[in-house]
Amino acid sequence: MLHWLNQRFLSPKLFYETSTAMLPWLVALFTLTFAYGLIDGLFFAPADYQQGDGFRIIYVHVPSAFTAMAIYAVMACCAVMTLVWRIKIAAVCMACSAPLGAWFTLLALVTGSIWGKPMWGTFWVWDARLTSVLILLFLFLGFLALQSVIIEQRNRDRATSVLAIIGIINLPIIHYSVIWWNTLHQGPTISKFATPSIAPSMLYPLLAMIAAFLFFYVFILLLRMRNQLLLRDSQTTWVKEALQ
Amino acid sequence: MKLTFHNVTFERASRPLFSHIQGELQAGDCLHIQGANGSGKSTLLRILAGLMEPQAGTVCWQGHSIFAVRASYQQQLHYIGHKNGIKPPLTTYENIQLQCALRNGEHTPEELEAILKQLRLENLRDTQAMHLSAGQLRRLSLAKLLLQKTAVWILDEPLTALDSAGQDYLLQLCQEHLAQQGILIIATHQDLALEKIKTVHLNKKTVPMPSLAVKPTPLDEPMPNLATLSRSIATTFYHEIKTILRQACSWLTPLLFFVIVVCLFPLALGPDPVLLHTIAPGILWVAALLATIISMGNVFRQDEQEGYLDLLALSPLPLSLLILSKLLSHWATHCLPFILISPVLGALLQLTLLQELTLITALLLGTPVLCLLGGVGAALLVGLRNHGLLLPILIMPFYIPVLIFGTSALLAAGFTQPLSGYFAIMGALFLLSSACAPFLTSIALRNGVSQ
Repeated sequence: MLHWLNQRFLSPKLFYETSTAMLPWLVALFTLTFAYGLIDGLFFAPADYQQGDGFRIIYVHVPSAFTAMAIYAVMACCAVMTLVWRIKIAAVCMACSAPLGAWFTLLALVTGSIWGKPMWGTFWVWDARLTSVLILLFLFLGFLALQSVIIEQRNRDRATSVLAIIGIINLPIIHYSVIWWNTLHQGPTISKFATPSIAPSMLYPLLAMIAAFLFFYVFILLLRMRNQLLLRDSQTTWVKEALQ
Repeated sequence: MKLTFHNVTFERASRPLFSHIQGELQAGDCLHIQGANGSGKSTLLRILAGLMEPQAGTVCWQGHSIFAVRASYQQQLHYIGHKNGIKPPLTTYENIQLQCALRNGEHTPEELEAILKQLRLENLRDTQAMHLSAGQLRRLSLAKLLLQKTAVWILDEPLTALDSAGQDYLLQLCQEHLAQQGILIIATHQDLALEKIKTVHLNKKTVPMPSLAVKPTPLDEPMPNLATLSRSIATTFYHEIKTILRQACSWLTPLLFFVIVVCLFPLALGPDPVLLHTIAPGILWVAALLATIISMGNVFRQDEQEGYLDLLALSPLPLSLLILSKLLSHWATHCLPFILISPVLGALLQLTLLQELTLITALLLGTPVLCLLGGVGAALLVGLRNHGLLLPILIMPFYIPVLIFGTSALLAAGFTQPLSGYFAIMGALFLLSSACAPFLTSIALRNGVSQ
C-alpha cells in the first residue's frame, strides 16, 4: 500500500506538479489570514487591562513559537518516514524545514524578550517555557550543523533523521524536566504569561495569525522543496521536462 | 546457493561510478572484479557485502534481498576489506579470539593456536598488533577465513602487502574454498589461476553476464543460541576493556579533566565554604557532563580507522548488542574512574555525607545515560571528516534532564529531603535510553560505515 502511495502521490514529479497548483492558493490564504489577523489584532482587539497595548506582540510571538514547535513535529514525522519507508519527499521536507524552524524559534525568542522587557523589567528570565524554546533552538542548530558536515545526500538524510528522532523522544522529557527545575528553583513569580481566559475578540485574530504563520511556513517550505528536488533529480527526465 | 545482483548502480555526488552491473554466482563460482583505480571496485564489493546500498538495483542471496535476510546472509559471509579490522593494542592471539567472538564461533584455545601456526604467526602470539608489519597484519586478518566455513568470501585486494609465500597460501585457500562449493568474489590487479572464473571489468560498458530472476528459496534463520551469544558478547566486552586499559591516555583523560574542571571553580569564585556548598552540585554535574562528552568523541574513532567497525556491522551477532557491550565498556573505563574519585572532590566542595552518597548513586545512574546518548552522537559522526567539536553541540542539549535531576537530587540531599523520586526518574531515564539508544546507534553506525 505504502509502496503504491509512494509511487502515485509521493513521486517527485507529481509533487512538483501538485505544488505548482498549490502555490497561488497558499499565497491567497496567507494574505487573507495575515491581513485579518494583523488589522484586527493591532487595531480592533481590546487592550489588555494590565499590559495595555503592549500585549499586542502576542500576535507575532505566539504564532512563531507555535509554528516552530509544529515544524519540529513535522520534521520528526518525516524522519520516521525517511528511515522506515525511504520516502524521498519526506527527506526533502525534513531537510528544508530545519532552517525555517530555526528562524521561527529565533523569532519567538526575540519577540519574547522584547515583550519581557516592559512587562517583567528584564529581557530574559529563566522561565520554563523560555528555556524550553531556547533548547529547541539548540536542537535545530545541531540538526543544521550535522546537515552541513555530511556530503553524501542519502547518508545525510538518514543521519539527520536519527538525530530528529532522538530529539522528539527527548523533547517532552527536556520540557518537563525544565518545568520541574523551574518550580524547584523558585523563578520570578511573574514569569507565567499563560493567558488562561482570553477574550474571544483577542483570540480570533490570534488564531488567524497562527494560521497565517503556518500557511507562510508551508509556502516557503514548498518553494524550498521544489528547488531541492530539482537539484537532487537534476539528471532525470522529469526535471528536464519541467524546466522546459 | 545463489548470489545474484541485478542492475546495480552507484553514484557518488550525483556522478555515476558504475551502472547496471549484474550477474549471478552459484556454488563454486569465482567472480574477479577488475578496473582502473577509482572505477569503483571496492564500492561494488562493499555493496555485495551489504555494507553499502546501491542507488538502484538489488543484491539477492537465495532470491531474497540481502537487507531483508541480513542475519542469515552475514552468517554465510566473510569480507576482507582494505583495512584489516585489527585492534592495535591487543595481541595477535587476543585479536583472533575477538574475531572468533564476533563470528559467534566456538573454538578451543588449541584450535586458535593451530590457526596462528597456519598463518605463520605463532612466534608473535603475545605481541601487540601495533608492533606487527603490514604483511603480518594482513595475515592476521585472514584468520577469519580459517575460523569458520562460510559460503561467500568477498576479498578486496587481499594480496597486497603479502609476501609471495603468503600470496600462494591465500590463493590455495581460495582454491580449496571453491572446491568446497564456495562463492568467491575478489578484486585484484593480478591474474588469477582459478577455475570457473567470471570477470567483471568496471571500465568497460558491456557486462558479459546474464541476470536471471531467481525464485526465493526458504532460508533457515540462524537460531540464536543464548549461551554462545552471551559468551561472545562477554568476550567482546572483555577485549574492549583490555584495549582501552592498555591505552592509558584514553581512560585517564576524562578522569583528570573532571578533577581539573572541578578545581577551577573555587579558584574562579573564591574559597567561601558556604558558596562552594551551594554551587557544588552544579559544578560536579557539569564537570561530569563535560568529561563524558569529551571521552565520547573517541569511542568509535580508532575502530573506524582500523576498519573494525566494518567487522561489527558484518557480524552475525545483533549489532545493537555489540554496541551496548562497547558502550558499557566505555562507561566502565571512562566514567567509573571519575565517579570513584568524585567523593574526594565533593569533600573539597563541602558536601555533607548524605550528599556524597547521593552523588555517587546519581552518577552511577546518570552517567550510563550520558554514554548511551553520546554513543548515538558519536555514531552519527562516523565516516565524516572535519567535524571538529560537533559532538557536544549535537548531544549536550539531550543531557539537560540528567543534569537537572542529578543536581536536584544533590540539592535535596543537602536539605535532607526524600530522594527516592529523583532516583526513580533517573532510573527511568536509564531504562529508556538503554532501550532506544543502542537501536538508534546501530542505524547511525550502519549509515556511517556506508559512506
